[in-house]
Amino acid sequence: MSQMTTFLDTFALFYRLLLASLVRPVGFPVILRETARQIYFTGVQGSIVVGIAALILGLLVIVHTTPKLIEFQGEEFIGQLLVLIVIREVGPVLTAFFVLLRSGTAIIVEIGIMVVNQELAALQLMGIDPLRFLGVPRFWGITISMLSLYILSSITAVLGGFVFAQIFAEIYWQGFWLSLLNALGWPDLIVGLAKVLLFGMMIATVSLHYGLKAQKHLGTVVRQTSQGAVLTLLLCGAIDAFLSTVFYL
Amino acid sequence: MKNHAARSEPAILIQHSLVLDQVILSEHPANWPCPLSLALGLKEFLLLEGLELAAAPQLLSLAASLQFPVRGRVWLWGLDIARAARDDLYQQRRRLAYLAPGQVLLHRLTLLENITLPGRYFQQRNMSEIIKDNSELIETLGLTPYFSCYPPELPADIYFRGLWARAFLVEPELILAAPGAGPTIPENNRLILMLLRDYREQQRGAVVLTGPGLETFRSLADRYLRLEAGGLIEIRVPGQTAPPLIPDLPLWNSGKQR
Repeated sequence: MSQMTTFLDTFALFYRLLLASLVRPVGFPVILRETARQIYFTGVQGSIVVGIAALILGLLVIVHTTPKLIEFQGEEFIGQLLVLIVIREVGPVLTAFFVLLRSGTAIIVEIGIMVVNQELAALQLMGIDPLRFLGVPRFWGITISMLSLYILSSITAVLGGFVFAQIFAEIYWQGFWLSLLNALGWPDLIVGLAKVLLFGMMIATVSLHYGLKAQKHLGTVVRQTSQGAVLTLLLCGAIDAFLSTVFYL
Repeated sequence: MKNHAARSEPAILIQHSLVLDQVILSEHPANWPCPLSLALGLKEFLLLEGLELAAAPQLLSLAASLQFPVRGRVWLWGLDIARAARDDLYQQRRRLAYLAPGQVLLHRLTLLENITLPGRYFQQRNMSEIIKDNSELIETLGLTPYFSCYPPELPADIYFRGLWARAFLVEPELILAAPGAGPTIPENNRLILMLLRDYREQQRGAVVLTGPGLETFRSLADRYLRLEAGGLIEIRVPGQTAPPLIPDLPLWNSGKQR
């Protein structure tokens, strides 16, 4: 029953965040600055870690698949594999994983501490809606950062894949590029982008929800952080499975 | 429908900044009149003495709509706050200043960002513009050297003055305060008295001060109530020449004339 309440609360918060973003835009410059701050933290400062992880992903794909492809003379399928793994399936999940670890948990802790310190009450008493001042910038900051990091990680993984493909299988740029372009279609890009968009919104919403659920002492923040991270992972997994299934149907 | 119900109150309520009607608090302190009724004029200065520091925030947070009464109703400028829509409620809160225990500065903003936040957020003004327009207040409170400090780095009295500065910069129409809640060094009390005197002289709005001892502020009060033996007793201040700004202000049920 409590799980069901959590889901309903999360979706209600999602709706309220969308509403707060669109209706009666008060304090737009302050909100914009807060959003830029969130994008800097998640999208810019987090780009190095995501870039390295994407490079490793590209390497692993090539290292594990090229020997078999060469064995069956199927080097031209390397593009298809990269599209399938990097752009459509693992890329979005990898990006979401790092954003959740780095920013989702940070949001839960930050908002949780603000609740404990009564900073949310201070905002309310100033007539500032915490959902607008704290929620909206984090919601859009995480979502925009997810999209940017996904694009960055896809490019890095493909380029990394190419470099390692050259080393391991002597597949040259033209062949690699043609194979990739032949394999890449709009549906792949749309599915990949839809996944990161939903992952971003989900990470931000669940993190905010668990941050706001913190109560009078810091112990609750710790508990909310672990519960929030687990639920976000589960929801991301569910969204991933749903969109992948829809794509194949 | 909800908004309509909240706005269709008698016109008399609009003549008051705050009205508590038969209010019951969730944890009412000992000797607290229960239920409590109280009405505050639009420009009235009310002292409510005798409340313990731990109890004062309960009344103030109720008046500021941070919590709602278990029973009874609360109006802010004629709006029934417990029934108001979220946006209406926030709009009403922008008109008041709340200075009671628990009110804090945001820890990840500097003192300057903190005190100018409402102005930047609601009026979209920049920080230098806000500070320039209120330079006298800032100078009086001696905050300028600490502008770039974050709240944890501030000395306790500067933190306390920062809260007052933030409250006054929004030009509130109602101040709800427990002055004894902060560091009660004489310098702070003197500054607050000065700010409140200026506020009263300019007739900007109403003030409710609560706490155990409010002798310092008696000279400013239009009405002075003391909590005694489970009731609020109205006390005439010797030498008080200023009549209440709304002479027929009702103090329902719980007031006794001494």
